[in-house]
Amino acid sequence: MNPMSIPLRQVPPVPAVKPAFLRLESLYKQFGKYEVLHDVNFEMSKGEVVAIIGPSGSGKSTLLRCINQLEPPTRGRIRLDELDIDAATPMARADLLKLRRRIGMVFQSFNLFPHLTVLRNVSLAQVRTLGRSEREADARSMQLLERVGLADKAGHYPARCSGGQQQRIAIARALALEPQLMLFDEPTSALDPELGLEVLAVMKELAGEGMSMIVVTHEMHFAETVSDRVVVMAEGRIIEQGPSAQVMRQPRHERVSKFLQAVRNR
Amino acid sequence: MNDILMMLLAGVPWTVGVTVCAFAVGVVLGFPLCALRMSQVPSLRVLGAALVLTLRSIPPIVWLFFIFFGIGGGYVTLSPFVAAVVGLGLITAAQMAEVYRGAFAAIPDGQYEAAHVLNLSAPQRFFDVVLPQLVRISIPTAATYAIGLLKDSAVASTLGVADISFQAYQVSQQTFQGLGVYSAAALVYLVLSVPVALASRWLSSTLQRRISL
Repeated sequence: MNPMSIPLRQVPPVPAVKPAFLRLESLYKQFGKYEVLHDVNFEMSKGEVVAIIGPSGSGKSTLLRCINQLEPPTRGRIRLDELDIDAATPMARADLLKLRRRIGMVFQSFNLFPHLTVLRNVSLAQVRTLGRSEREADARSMQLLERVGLADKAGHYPARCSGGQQQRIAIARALALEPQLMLFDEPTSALDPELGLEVLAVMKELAGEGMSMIVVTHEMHFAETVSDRVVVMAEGRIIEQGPSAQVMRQPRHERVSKFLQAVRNR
Repeated sequence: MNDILMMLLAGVPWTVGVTVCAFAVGVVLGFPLCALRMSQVPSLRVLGAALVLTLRSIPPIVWLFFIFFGIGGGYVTLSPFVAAVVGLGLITAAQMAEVYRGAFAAIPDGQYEAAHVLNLSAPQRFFDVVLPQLVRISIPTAATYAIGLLKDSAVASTLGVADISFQAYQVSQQTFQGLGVYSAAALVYLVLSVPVALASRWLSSTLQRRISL
């Protein structure tokens, strides 16, 4: 049976146990005529780690990018703590800054600034947006680089670091702004498996420290063992979400079991 | 022969002066022209494209005569040097606008996205993230153009700027040693161009090794 022919059913969001920290209400995103996100409802509580999985083109990355308004949603509502953003009303610049101030993001392609040293990459936004002095920022950056195991690379340029190292630097750069929520957009997809592991190790540590994280990933082991909850998307919709073990071991939706089977048999 | 060489060398400051000043004008004016060319407003974009096309499609000598004899002939008084700098500077601006446009396109979207999620303001995104990369990407093309400009600055001699070509013409008229004089002039141009070429090659390879864009 063609998996595409299985009808998609919207599942109601699983209510989070603790009060919602992030809440997405009927989020839609359209690129021209093409609908990338369809009525997405989702909530998570503070300290939760949520993995978003699903086939390519299912809207995972777009969903992540809608949360921090890199792609403004076409319709719907985003609540983050007391911030309440309705796509229908134009967003005040102050609100956008407040939203982004609380959200760190790590990209598949790292996106470090190639013309700045590793240290400067981590320090720049601290100086520019938090108003820290160069010295304060550098001291904080060194702590973070130590934490991701790369203090010895501080004076190097990103081009001289491996992909795994660059991604760990990107994580340090995002953490430097002290976000309350970290978004990871396929952070290991551009890395070979070994280098991916060192990035996953840093993420696992971060999760252990209670950071709220949403991770778009194809790493099923990470989704199953590190995340508290797994969200499965297909064709712009959330088709299943629930505790990791349940979704990964006993998915309710046939489309999900097909997807998981395909990934595991690869 | 020594006298001939001394006469030619007297032209060097003028050649270098026209080149450096015109290049500086072009490097600076290239930015607003590039901004017009990349504007969100269609009419501004068309204006930018038209300016670039006009500046690049008309031969430099025609521009220089237009400015010096046309505008300078009745409306404002321009020295040959200023007319040459303005003319070559505007042509350079059109060229640099295209260089910048290409460099902008070479900066990956991810750089802007990273700057956005780090909450950098628009000026910070430009000065901290975009401009330094733009400069690095533009250097090799700009240097090649600068060498071309050094040679093309000879056109200023037609307005009476006392550059190397002007001096060569004068000396050859006086001495009737055309072959020797122009060989010497060629050598002087060569000596001026080669260091620029070497410096640019060294600079771009150093930057490439370091940041590998």
